[in-house]
Amino acid sequence: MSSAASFEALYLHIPFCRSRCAYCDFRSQAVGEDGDLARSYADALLRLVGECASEGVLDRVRTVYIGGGTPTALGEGLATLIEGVRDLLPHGLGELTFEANPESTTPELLRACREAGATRASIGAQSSDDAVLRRLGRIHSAREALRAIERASSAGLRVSADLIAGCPGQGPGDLAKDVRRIVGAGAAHVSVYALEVHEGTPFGDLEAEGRLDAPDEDGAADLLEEASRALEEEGLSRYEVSNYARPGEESRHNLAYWEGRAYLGLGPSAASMLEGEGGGRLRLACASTTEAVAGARSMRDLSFDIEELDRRQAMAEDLMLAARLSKGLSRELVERARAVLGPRVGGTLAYLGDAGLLEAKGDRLAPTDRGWLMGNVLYGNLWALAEVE
Amino acid sequence: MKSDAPQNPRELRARTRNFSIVAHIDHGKSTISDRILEATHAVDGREMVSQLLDSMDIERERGITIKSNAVRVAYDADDGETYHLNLIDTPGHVDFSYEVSRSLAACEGAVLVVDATQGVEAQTVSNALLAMNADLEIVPAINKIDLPSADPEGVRAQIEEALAIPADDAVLVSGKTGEGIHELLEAVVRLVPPPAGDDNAPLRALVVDSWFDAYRGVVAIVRVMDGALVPGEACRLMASGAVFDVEGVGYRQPKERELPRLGAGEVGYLVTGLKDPALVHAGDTVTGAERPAGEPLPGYREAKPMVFCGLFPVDTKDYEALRDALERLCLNDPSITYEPETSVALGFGFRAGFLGLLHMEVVKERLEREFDLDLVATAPSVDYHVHTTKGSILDVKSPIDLPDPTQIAFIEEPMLAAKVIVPPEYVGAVMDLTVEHRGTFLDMVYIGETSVEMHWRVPLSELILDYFDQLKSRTRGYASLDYELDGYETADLVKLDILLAGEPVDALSFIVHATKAYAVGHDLAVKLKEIIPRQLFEVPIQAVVGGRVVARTNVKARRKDVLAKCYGGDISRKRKLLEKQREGKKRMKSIGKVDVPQEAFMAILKVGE
Repeated sequence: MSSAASFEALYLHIPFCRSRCAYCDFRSQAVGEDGDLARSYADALLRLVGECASEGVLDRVRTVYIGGGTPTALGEGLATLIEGVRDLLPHGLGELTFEANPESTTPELLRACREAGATRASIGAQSSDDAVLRRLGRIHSAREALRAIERASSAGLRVSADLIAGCPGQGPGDLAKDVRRIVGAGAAHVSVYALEVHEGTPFGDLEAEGRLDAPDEDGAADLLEEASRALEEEGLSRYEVSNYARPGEESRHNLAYWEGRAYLGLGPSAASMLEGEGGGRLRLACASTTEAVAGARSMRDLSFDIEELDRRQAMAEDLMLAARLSKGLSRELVERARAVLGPRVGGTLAYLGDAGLLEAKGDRLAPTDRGWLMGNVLYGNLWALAEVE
Repeated sequence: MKSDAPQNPRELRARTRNFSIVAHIDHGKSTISDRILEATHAVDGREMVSQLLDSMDIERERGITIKSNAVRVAYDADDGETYHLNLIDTPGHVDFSYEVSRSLAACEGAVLVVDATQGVEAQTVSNALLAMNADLEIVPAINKIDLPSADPEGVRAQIEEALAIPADDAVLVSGKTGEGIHELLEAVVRLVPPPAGDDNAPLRALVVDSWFDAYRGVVAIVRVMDGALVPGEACRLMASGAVFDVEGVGYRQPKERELPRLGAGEVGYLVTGLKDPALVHAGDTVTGAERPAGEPLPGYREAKPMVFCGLFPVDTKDYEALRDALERLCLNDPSITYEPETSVALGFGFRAGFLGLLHMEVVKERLEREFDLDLVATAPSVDYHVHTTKGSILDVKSPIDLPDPTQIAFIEEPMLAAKVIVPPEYVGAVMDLTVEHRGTFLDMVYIGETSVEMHWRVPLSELILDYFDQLKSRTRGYASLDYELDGYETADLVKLDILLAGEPVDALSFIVHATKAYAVGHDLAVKLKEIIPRQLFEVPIQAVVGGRVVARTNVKARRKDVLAKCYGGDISRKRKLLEKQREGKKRMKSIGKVDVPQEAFMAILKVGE
């Protein structure tokens, strides 16, 4: 990694889970209680962060996100990691989020993480319905999920919670109920995802056999809209296609991804982004295994897959990411896009407007309700602007 | 092996046997052919490709024979003589029944293969009848005797009962183990008569099949009836009138072996040097230019395309490539015709003619595979005679060309004389099916105790849709079908138009009998709803006849199409997914605002599935 790089956000990936969920295709070192590997892995991360910090590339980092997997699977080691990272970053932390699963969220661990410097916890609640949680293969109950939110909140952390819409067993009214319960428990930030069924997962197998009785496209759309309405009623506004927050509770770290700021990600398959030459952009995916990361003495021991985006691609990606945000595309962004991508930009935006996916709000173009649900058409058309005719 | 040394033509004929193998599908025709080639060392075991005679990829994959072929093998018989056995392979589908008849006309005998576990089936009967009609000696062979459920004695009795063929000495064989192949070849030598022929009469050779060779021009498989084909001599094709000098003759083993002459009674290949494959048709007679025969061999019929469909490149830029591909394909298959066609919806393409639906599918598949083209094929049509109010007659092979109803006096459609052979218990089912398809029943005759031959007059347009498949399914595969064109008849035909999102799509139009317009319109609309994916906008589908909507349905707009998570590492992944989605969309045809999958244009064939 070039020493000229300068990142604004740092992501640390914790590839351990106590069990694998029925919908998950994420790379994680599931199951086992291989405490030694987890410990040496966390130590290695800290070593690597230290190396980067000493080269000065983390000087501008203001947010840290520890995700997984299940970071809380590290137990007390998570607090140690947080504290170590805080001490390595020269200007302190504006925001440090860690993901937590309800079953591994004890009051002690939450307090320890808070004292170590964490400001925010993202709780993988997923649902407030025990039957749905069982179908998802989650190993916690609805009660545990709500209690984890309450505990994180009383430990002094800002709390976010995840929900999944469109799960087997869900029907009308279920998402509104989920929203009321988790917001009631103290979540000031909620992420709502539509269930994605991937090949090779238990859900993927069921679907292939035609036995996954999940809501159909219309049912899932209804649930997403229902969640959105319920969240707005609770005072959480949508600021990104999947994310809602009370004013000031937005994830600053995630905004860095969407606003095109450089970030460093460490851990298997974690991504980094940095500015390339001439308006281009580099994206690196860490290609090292968990064991390789755990044994790494230096950044030079890690391998990365590098993807290079040229100026047009970087520009189109900016448009695509902006279209995921409530504030949408600013006039300044559109002008810049026109300069880089040519007059086709106007045609595409007009088409997306006619199709009812984008609408003018003041001097910005923002996604409509339909634009949220039909996001792939919106993003796909914007990304296609990168193609040279 | 005895020498292939020159011998006088009569001796040669005495030691020649020309025969075909006929069977019900899957009874083992191809494996037995393979075994014969192996047993006579025509093919080395290692270079043996299963079903060797079927040389085209698609033939091999689908297990069907489209082109005819002839292979000569040398067989050392138990009587100490070496015989030339010419094995003439025949196509196995109703689309190619004329080609079958030409192949059989080149033979004196046929090995009738019957599965020892299945017994006599409908095509066993119809193929045996074809062979008997061609005056061939039948050599019955009972195959698959290696299987535990084999019942050779029962099958023997069946052959005698159903076909009135003496089966006492039917040969028991196993294509799988090779058992009985020697006995079968002995039976061929013993039972199949040697070919007759007059060496001194003017040359008459029957064209069995032909193909185009880039270096040598048209090469034909021929059976010499009288006289001889000698390289260097001038010849004429009696039907097409083409004149050429014989550039070479020989036989295939299946590798080609050149001969100094091909005499009366012999089967082999003929290099014509002709550059236009349309001049050499199966069934034509080759005669000498100097001393021509008075009469051609009987039974010639022009290979007339019966089914027409539009072929359009998905990417309009591929029009030239499609034209070149058609041109090249026609070199090997002159029965394909094509002329330019323009569709508002699909742009520039061709209206191509085929012998039948299977032929059409095979050609489309070859165009796509061998020439790397992505094609849209439109619903098949027949050649209608449209009489206008002004008194002219138009040949209309495409719904696109049908004039406005106010200018049409009446329309005539091509009719078929169809022959269906089934076991008696299915007569009712065939009656129902064929009447549903506007067939007129003529008569029926019993053939033995196990088969009935029914004669019908049916509109060709009815037959080309799902008739054959339905016939197979309603008779559990027992029925066999044979047909030939039988004039034209006036019918109350109308054009069914399809509107997508309010816009007529000419490439989806269809000519249909008035009494069926409502039902077909409805079925088609429902099928299109299944095929056209939900998209950004709602897509109303309407079926319209003469300005009246006969059916309407709706493809609802998509409600949700969004990839939720998009954080650091997800961004590249999501982008790639979006690109993939876009690629998928490109394979569809955009008509106005609607993305239409290729199979939608063939939806009419899938109605009822």
